[in-house]
Amino acid sequence: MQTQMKYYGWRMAVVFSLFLALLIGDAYLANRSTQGLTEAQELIAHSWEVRVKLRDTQIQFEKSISAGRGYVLLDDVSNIQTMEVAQKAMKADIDNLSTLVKDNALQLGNIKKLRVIVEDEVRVVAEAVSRKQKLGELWKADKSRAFTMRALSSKNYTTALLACLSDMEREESRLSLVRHREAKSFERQTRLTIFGAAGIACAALVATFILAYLMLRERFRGESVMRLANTELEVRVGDRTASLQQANEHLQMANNELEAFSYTVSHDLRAPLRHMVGFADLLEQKAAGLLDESGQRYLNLIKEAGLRAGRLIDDLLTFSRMSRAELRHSLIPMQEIVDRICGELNDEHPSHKIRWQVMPLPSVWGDPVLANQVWRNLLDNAVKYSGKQEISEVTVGYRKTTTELEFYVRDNGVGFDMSHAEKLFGVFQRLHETEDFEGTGIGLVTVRRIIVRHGGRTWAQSEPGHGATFYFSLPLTCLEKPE
Amino acid sequence: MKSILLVEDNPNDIELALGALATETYAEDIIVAKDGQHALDFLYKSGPYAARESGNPILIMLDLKLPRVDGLEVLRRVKADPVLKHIPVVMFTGSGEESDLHTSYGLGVNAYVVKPVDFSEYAFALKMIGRFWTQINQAPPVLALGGGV
Repeated sequence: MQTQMKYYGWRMAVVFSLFLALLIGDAYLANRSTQGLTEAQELIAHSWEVRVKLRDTQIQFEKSISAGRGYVLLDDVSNIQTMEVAQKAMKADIDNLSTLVKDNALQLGNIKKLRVIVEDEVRVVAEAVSRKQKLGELWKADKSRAFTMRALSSKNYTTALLACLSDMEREESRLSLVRHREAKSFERQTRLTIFGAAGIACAALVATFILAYLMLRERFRGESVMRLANTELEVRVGDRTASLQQANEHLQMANNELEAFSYTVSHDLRAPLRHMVGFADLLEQKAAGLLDESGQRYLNLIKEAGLRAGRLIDDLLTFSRMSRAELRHSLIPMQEIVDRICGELNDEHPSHKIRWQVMPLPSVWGDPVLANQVWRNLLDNAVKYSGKQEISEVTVGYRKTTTELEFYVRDNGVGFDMSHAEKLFGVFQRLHETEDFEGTGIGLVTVRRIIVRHGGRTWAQSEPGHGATFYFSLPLTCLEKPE
Repeated sequence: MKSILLVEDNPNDIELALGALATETYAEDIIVAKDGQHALDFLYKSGPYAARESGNPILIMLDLKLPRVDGLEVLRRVKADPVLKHIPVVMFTGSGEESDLHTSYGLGVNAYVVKPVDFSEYAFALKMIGRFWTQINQAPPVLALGGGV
C-alpha cells in the first residue's frame, strides 16, 4: 500500500511539474507575443503619424510658395505674413518629422534633402522680398523679378519636394507593411499561446482524472484484497476458536476423568489400608502374649505404615475436594479465626510453651472454610517446626501494599534453605525427615491452591536455624463485597 | 429377636465389623447382606429370605457403593416405606464426598460415618453407632402416637 502511494506520489509530482512548466512557458510566450503585437501596432500608428506630418509639410510648403508668389506679383504685403507663418509651421513640421524618424537613417537622409529644398525656397522668396522692398517701383522691371517668378512658378521646388516626400512615404509604407506582417505573426503567436494554454489545461484535467481513476481503482482493489484477507482471518479465527473450544472440552474431560480417577483411587486405596490396619489390630489382640518383642514391633510397624498411608490419602482427598469445591463468599473474620486456632494449638500441645504475637487483622471477603484451612496449615507448621525450641514464638501480622494485603506467619523454628523455597509449595514436598516432623507434605500446596483461587500469591522466606516466615497475599478487592 | 442388618459387600470389612462388634451385646444377631438387593429381600421377606422369621432389624448399617442395588437406592426405598422408615439407618462408608453426604441426608439417613483407617477408631465408631441407635436414642414421638404419617 505504502509503495503504491509512493509510486503514485512520484508520478503525480512529475506530471504536475510538467504541466506547470508548460503553463509557465505558455504564459511567457503569450506575454511576449502580446507585447510584440502592441509594439508593432504602435509602430504602425507611428508610420501613420509620419505620413500625416509629411502631408502637413507639403501643405505648408505649397502655402508658403503661393504666398511668396502672391507678394511678388500682386504687391499684397499681407502675403508676406502668410508666407512667414507657413514657413514657420513647415519648419516645425520638419523638426517634428526628424524627431519621429530619428532611428531611421534613410528617412533622416531624406529629411536632410527636404531641409535643403525648403531652405532654398525660403532663401529665394526672402531675396525676392528684400529686393522688391529695395527697388520699389523699379522692381517690376528688374530682371530678378522675372527670375524669382520663374523660380517660384516653375515646378522645380514642388517637384523636388514631392519626390522627396514620396520617397519618405514609400519608406514609411514599406515599414508599415513590415510591421503589419510582424503584427500578424504576433497575433498568430498570441492566438497559438491561448489555444496552447487551453490545451495544456485540458491535458492536465485529463491527466488528473486518469490519475484519480487509477488511484481509486487501486484503492478499491486494495480494499477488496483487505476484505478478502479479513474474511480469511475471520475463518482462521473461527477455526482456531473451534479447535480451542475442542481442546478446552478435551481438557475438561481429562480433568473430570482425572478427578474421577483420583477419587476412585483414593477410595479404593483407602479400603485395603483400612483392612491392613484392622487385621493387624485384630491379630495383635488375638496374639497377645504369643508374640515376642520383635514380632510385636513388626506388627506395630505395619499398623503405623498403614495409618500414615491412610493420612496421606485423606489429605489428598481433602486437597482434591478443596480444589473442586465452589468458592462460597462471605465476610471472613481473620482475627477471630487466628485466635481460635491459636487456642486449639495451645490445647493440642499442652506440654509445649507457645508465645503468640498476633496483630489486629482485617476481615476480608472469601471462603471462610478455606481461609480456616489456610490459617490452620500455616499456624500448625509454625508450631510444628519450632517445636524443638524451648519456647515457640509465633508472630502473625499483615501489611497493606498498593495492590494487595500481605499476611504472614513467622516462627523461630528450624527454618529452611532458601534454594528450596519453591519446593515447599509442591505436592508431597518435604524438606525435613518424617521422623523429625510429622506430616504428609500437602499442607502448603493446599494453602497455595486456596490462595491462588482467591487471586493471591504465596511465598516464604527463611534461613536455616533462624525461623521461617510464610506469606500469602490477597488482592485489595477482597476488602469489598463481591457482586 | 433384636438384630442388626449390616449391608456390606467387602468380605474384609464384614469381618472387621463383626470383629469390632463381637464384644457388643445390644443385638442378638447381626445379619449380613452382601448387596443392596439382598438387603431389600431381607427387609421385604422375599427371595432367599422369603421364609425368615418376621420382625424388622433394630438398625441398618449401610455401605454406599454396593453391587446390583447401591446403598443410596436402599436408603431411598427404606425411607419411602411407611413402616420401614422408622428403622434407624446409618451410612457407614469409605466416601467422605460432600455430595454423597448431602444426598444421604436429603434421603433421610439418620447418621453418616466415614470409615476411619485406624481400626481402634473404626471399632469405636461402630460400637458407638450401635449403642446410640439401639439403646440411647428414643423412638420419635410419631411412633408413640400410634402410626406413621
